[in-house]
Amino acid sequence: MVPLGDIHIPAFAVGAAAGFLMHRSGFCLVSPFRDYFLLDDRLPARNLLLAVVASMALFEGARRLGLLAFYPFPMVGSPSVSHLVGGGIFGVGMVLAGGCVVGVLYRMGAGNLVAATAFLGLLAGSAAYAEIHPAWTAVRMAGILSWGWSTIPQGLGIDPGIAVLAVAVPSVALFLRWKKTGMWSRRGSSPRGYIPGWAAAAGLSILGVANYVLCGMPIGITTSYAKMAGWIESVLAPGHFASLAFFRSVSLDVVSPATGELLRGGPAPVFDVVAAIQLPLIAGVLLGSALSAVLLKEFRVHRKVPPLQLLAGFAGGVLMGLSSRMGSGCNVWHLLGGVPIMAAPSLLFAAGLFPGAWAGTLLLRKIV
Amino acid sequence: MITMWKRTVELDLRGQVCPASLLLSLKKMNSLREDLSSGTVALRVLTENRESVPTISAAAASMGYAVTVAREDAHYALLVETAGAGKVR
Repeated sequence: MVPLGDIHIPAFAVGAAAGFLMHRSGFCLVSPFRDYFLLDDRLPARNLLLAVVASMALFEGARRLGLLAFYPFPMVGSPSVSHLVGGGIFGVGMVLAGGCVVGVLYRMGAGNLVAATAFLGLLAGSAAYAEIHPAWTAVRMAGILSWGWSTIPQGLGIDPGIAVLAVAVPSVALFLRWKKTGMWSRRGSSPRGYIPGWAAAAGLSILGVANYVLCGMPIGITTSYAKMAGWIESVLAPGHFASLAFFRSVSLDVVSPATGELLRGGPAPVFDVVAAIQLPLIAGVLLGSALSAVLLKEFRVHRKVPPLQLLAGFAGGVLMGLSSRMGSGCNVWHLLGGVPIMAAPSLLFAAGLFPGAWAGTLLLRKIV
Repeated sequence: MITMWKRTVELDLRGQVCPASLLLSLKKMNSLREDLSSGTVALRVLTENRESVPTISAAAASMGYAVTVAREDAHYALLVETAGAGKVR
């Protein structure tokens, strides 16, 4: 792991590459869940499975090579029913918003107004969570599943490599079968400069492991949304802001084994280690997608959007902001960070996404 | 030889995201099904959402229509019509 002062450069580079890649491919972490229920389209789910399995193999390879400062990474936590509930609410929100916390960013970077309203909703939802933080903390603690372990390999008492092999070998066989039967692409036409979903999935896995190696943890950005919400609240209502325990809480508190530095941070609107990693990542995704759109001459802000879609985008953003704090992370953090190391909290969050996305599609059918 | 002119119905989805773009396109294709099938109408869908280009064109193709995609300005125009019938006006 690089010293703290150097974290923001690789984080920005990872974000910019991810933003560029996601804009070119239209890669989406919502469609694997939503389109399965809404359209019976399974291609996005195949791409997500590829991203998860590739991340799993890359994380394990990096661990074996001694490249990871932390394993499991910080902020994994103990599994709780709160992760399942958080995933459920997040599932509804991401379908309504038409994108997840990163999808909203890259679409906003390319000039999309629905994504911009969803981004505002994410900030509002993060602020709303601060109001229920003490009560929700009690729920989370009461819901902790006293298994005494955080990851499946820990629970089974086996080397993570064996667990990874047990998942990766049948998955690769499945991937090859899908390749043979032409199930990695659809018959539709592609936009200019298109990168296929499977290539984007592989690329995002590489960027995810790069972030883990260089910054000490997988890609995650929502604590910084809470920081932004906290900053706005501290300006608009300083008295109320000071009364909120959430903005004084600490979510990261570890010593870097590589540098001996204390890595401490949380949702408080200050520039700590969490901000040093996440803010450059956010800026990178925005600028990477904007660059891709400009190079393709596709950057344009269209103002004539149905108000109901803007409202759904904002409401979805609120739900995602709220639930990403309730579930101790967003879908990207859990799906491309926790699930690849088989972390129980992330598996619970992912399990919650299914019923949430299903409920979201029922709502969406009524709106559109 | 008789040339049959088609009427073009435009669906402007610029600024909208998935899956709203796909769902609205499917709704329009269903409401125009008879005219699209008879070749008297072509549907022109405008979108700048890159994700929607392959999904809308794949959905239209699976319904038996021919789809032509063209980049126009900063968006894409997807022309959905019955294969091989008439000229678009």
